[in-house]
Amino acid sequence: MAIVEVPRDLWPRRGDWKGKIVSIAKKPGDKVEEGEPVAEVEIEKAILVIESPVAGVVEEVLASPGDPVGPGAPLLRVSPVGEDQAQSQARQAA
Amino acid sequence: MEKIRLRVRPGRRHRDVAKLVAGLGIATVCEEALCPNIGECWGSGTATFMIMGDICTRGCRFCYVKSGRPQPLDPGEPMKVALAVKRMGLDYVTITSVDRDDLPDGGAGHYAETIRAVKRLNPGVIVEALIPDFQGSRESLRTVVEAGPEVIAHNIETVRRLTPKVRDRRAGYEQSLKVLETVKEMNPRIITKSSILLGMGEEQWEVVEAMRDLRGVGVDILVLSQYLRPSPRHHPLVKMYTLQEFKTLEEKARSLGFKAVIAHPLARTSYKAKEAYMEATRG
Repeated sequence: MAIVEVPRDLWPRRGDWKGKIVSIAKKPGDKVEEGEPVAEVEIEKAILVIESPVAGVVEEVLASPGDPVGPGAPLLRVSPVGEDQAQSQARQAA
Repeated sequence: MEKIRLRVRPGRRHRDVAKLVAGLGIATVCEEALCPNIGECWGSGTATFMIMGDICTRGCRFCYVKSGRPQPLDPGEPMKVALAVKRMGLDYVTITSVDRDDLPDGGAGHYAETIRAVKRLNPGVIVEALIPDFQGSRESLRTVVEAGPEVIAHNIETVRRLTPKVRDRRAGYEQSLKVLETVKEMNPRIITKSSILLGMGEEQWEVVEAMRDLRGVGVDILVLSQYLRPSPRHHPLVKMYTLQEFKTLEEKARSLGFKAVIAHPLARTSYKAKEAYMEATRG
């Protein structure tokens, strides 16, 4: 299982910036590719388009538009490609 | 006003740079200023080092670098920066610093030592020093000039009228022009460079006036970039310039005689610095 989060190492030693979720592009059950934009976070300077570092299937969305976030905030729980897909699908059906 | 969108996914090279600079204990302006280009620069294995600590004695209202009482100088820092340049395999490096009004020489001696150490350990490297104004001290400027950087940058940051509103009270438009003029006077072979942040409330004619003033003191390279307010407590963002407006200003700057112009919303002083230097020094 992988957690897609707001990158904590974008400005590694400056962890004091804050933002809010503008949008989440995925819902549970969606496939996600590595490098695919999955969320947008607005900070004062810009809108950060967060790309997924892993490919897989979205298990759970962990944030909603309007949520205040900072470095390391969790966005999605993803079952990476190669993990037991059946187990993942069973969990979603439950 | 629509904000700039940045795609972010720090990869392996980004993390390698992070590990290297943190391991050596040297600051980068890429982090301290929340530079929007960090992904592009670190992802290609380069960074802009910020010496003399990460706390500035000044408090300019556009800048995210922390302000306050700075740390003591690290006498090992020049060698650490030199090592970082070597390990990253850089052939062009920009070294900037916080302002150190607390030091008698403004930190010029430490700056010069850093430039020398970088050059000693990395023969052939081109060094750009993005310096503070040293409160206009000729002696401090001479110290840095004599260390032999190929490029000295000093930013006027904004137009004359907005300077007192945007920059720390110890900075000055005329003082910054004087710094750039003095560098050229001390060594005309040094390439000089300055940046203007756009979008803080300036009029276009004022930008052109600032360009003329910079050319008037012999500045070779001009950087024009979009101001992006780093936090709600900083100077307000008044205008987002279009790419076309950047293009028009770039053409104006070139017509005024700058040897190289970097004009782009995300340009920063050290952004595409090597390219600008190559253009400025091309016969």
